[in-house]
Amino acid sequence: MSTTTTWEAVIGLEIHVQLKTQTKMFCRCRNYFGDRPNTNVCPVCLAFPGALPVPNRRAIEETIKLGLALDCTIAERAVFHRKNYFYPDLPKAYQISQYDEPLCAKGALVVPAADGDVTIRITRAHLEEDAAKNVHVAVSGRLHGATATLVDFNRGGTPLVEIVTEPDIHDAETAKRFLQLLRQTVVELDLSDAELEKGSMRFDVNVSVRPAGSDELRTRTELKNMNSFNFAAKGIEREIARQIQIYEAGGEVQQETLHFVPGDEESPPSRSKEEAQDYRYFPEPDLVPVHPPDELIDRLRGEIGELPGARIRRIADTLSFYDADVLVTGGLDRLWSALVAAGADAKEAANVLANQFVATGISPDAVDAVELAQLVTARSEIPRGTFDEALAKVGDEGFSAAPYLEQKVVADAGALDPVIERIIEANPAQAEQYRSGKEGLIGFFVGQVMKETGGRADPRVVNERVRAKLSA
Amino acid sequence: MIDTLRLTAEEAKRQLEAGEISGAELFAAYLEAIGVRDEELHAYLHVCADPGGDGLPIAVKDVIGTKGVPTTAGSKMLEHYVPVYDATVVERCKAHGLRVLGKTNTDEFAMGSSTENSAFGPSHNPWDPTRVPGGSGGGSAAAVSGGLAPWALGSDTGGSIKQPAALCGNVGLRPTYGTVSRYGVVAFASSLDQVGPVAKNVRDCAYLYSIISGRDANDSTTVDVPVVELPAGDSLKGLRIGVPKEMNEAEGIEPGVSAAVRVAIEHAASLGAEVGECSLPRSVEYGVACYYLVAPAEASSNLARYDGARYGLRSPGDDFREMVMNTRHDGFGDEPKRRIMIGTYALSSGYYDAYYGKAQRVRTIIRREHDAVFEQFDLIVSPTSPTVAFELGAKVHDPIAMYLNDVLTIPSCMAGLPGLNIPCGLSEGLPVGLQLIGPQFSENTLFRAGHALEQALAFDVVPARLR
Repeated sequence: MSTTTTWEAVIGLEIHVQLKTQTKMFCRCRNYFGDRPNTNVCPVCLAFPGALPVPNRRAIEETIKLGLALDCTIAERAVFHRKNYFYPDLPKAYQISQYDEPLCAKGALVVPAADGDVTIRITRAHLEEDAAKNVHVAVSGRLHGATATLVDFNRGGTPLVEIVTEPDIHDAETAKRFLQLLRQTVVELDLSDAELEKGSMRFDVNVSVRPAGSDELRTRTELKNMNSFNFAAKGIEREIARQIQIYEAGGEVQQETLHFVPGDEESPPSRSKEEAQDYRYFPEPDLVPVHPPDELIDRLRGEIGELPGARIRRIADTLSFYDADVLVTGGLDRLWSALVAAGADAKEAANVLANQFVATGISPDAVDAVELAQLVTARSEIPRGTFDEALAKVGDEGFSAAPYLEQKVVADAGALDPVIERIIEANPAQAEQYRSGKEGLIGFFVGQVMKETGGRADPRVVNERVRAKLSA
Repeated sequence: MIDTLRLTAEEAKRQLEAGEISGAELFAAYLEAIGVRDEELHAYLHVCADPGGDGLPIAVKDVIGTKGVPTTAGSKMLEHYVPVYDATVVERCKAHGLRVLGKTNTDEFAMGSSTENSAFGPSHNPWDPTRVPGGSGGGSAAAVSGGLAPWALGSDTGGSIKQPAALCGNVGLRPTYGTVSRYGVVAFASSLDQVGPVAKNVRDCAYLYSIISGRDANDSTTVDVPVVELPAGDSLKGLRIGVPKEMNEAEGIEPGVSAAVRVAIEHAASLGAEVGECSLPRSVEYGVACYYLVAPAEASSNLARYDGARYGLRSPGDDFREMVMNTRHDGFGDEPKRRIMIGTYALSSGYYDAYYGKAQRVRTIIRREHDAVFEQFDLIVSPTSPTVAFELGAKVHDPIAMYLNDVLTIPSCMAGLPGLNIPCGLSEGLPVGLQLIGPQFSENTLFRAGHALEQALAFDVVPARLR
């Protein structure tokens, strides 16, 4: 390869989202896995002889709803298939999943970007059951280093939606933004917590590179276990660079899976060869095909509000694209709109929400927008400490901005001058040093004034007046 | 003295309700009969103590899960497995006061036509203990004909209720697919498995069917079922009966079997039925081949759960994979292994379309061929089994010969249709079974026709040697 080749990355995503239905996908067990291991189990999800699956209607509806939000075609006839393989976390030795007749197919998610929208096609969104959770433990025994695998079936059989994209993504940033936008969509539709740390949203990334302008698809690698969006972006970037380096050195990329260490971006991923597994898919004979009625689809469509992507584009008309993106994907834009409606400045409100408010960890839903709007508007007129104190309590029941607003900043020279004069008089040595050129001492005087006024003085005005008085 | 060989469920129910006998006496009479004759017949794998109550006793095939009572499916794999829940059909029986007498023998995982594939030894035919009772539900059929149960539950995938009923000389119904819940029944081939009744006569059979059938929230393939009518009349006026040429002239049908079936058809005509010839060429030609792709394919997946991890046999190994391999090596007999291999192959990538996919398409053809026949006929008749009960050991080393025993029962199973076996005579001193097949949900028609023919034929269901 010539060193002048420019390279283009080709990225596809496969995302799993756990639905937060009351019960599991094919039985009536509680869909919850904070409980003691193996307490939310029954003959069905433990695959006892004779047990049969009964599909969770709610999970089917939620998958359709997500499909609609992703602009998918909803199947007139969807079929569950069995995916057969032996693994300790799979008690039936098959996973009930979907194969060639998924509930949702051929959709798209438009990812807004500063320099125009990027459309990522959705290949399919289908419903399946999750596997149980394997816990590998060391056991003390005669064999040195012997290990055992314990299985917690509480997670086994919980509903899982799998979303697969076409390889339409060409850079790590877009991949990250797609994932953020998808997550926000899922959360807003109230389908899932979609928390990466908890594993209720997981994703695999397929990466390959090719000479820019070419439409070939080269050998891809699969990246697994990256449990944050930034981690994913970094991992993808590194993988793209690695592959380019291999091609430029005249080598070939091997098809393999890179398993990252969750939460540890610095550890190099472990590698494994992709084994060609034959899952022997066939239609699940214990279930009948699903025929979603038109009325159901219409009802679900009606339940979908303005989606995050559309809101980013709308808000970007008022704010910068960056601010709009942060507000929407951070789940803050509805509060932002309410603040603006209550009279807060749009830009100011966005800054407060995206920087300070988000750091408090307070739920936007807990906030009285009218009170917070007053606080935002008065931000420059009250001391910083007071503002921070108020913001930390803005989610409290019955929060009122009024007491904080009373603590106005003192910016009036007439009020500050006597204090400044008193401090200069009390510190003649420092005043002399300042006048003979040691200008750094200004900070000493300003600090004294702030201390004297209990932090309420406007530092800008104090600075100005101290200089004036010392030079007088 | 209670004569368990002759006592029908209906008569026993009458006597119980009239206070002529007590529930305890009735249950004890069957336990006593089991004590006397089951050493020879080996119909039961497990016999229960009287749970008390005034309901009728019932025998349950050992693939049907019973809470607290071992359910082995005739396999070493589940030798010590005790379910924590009742199958829906057992729950419904119990809700009607029925008491489980015991669990009856079956070919391993219901795979077989003679019970010789049971890991716990074969059952014997009450008419001649040197012969097989049929299978896979040979235990239930032998129990009913041997006076060891008034009636029983069986399960049928490709003939496992009808064929043993034919070979033992009693009445067995394979219901329309979807009318009886499969929940709690050890799965063999999910798209074919159906639970059904085995009884001494058609009225008992219909009554038991009325108890177990109907939609079940735990089995999404079940549907609402028409109200079951207990048959009473003896006229077949207006009934159009088709005689499929291929199923009555198939190679391998014994002359004695043909003769008995012909007599039954003549009776039907004299009772007022319009009898005519019809044809099911492709169903008969391809039925068995198609069945031996679909059933093993589903079985290979259904039996994959027996890995030693959670219940049943565990043969330890150094890691999960080795444990699974050791367990399945030790736990499964030859027939399940054979079918798991066939089924795994049929589903493999690259072979799916040629085998499983094609078999499903053939299945559609079989269904349509039957649909067309039922536009002209209300039901069709043929021998249930081409032969009378054969000798133990005669076919154990020839799986294909064993498979062909089901050539007449398999096509309607593939089409999801109901079939009723009634005994229609003897050949060489052994019972011959007549199979009545109708369209979906035609159980009431089958009962009506079966009952009228039963009256006309006056077959004595008590094995000659036990009278």
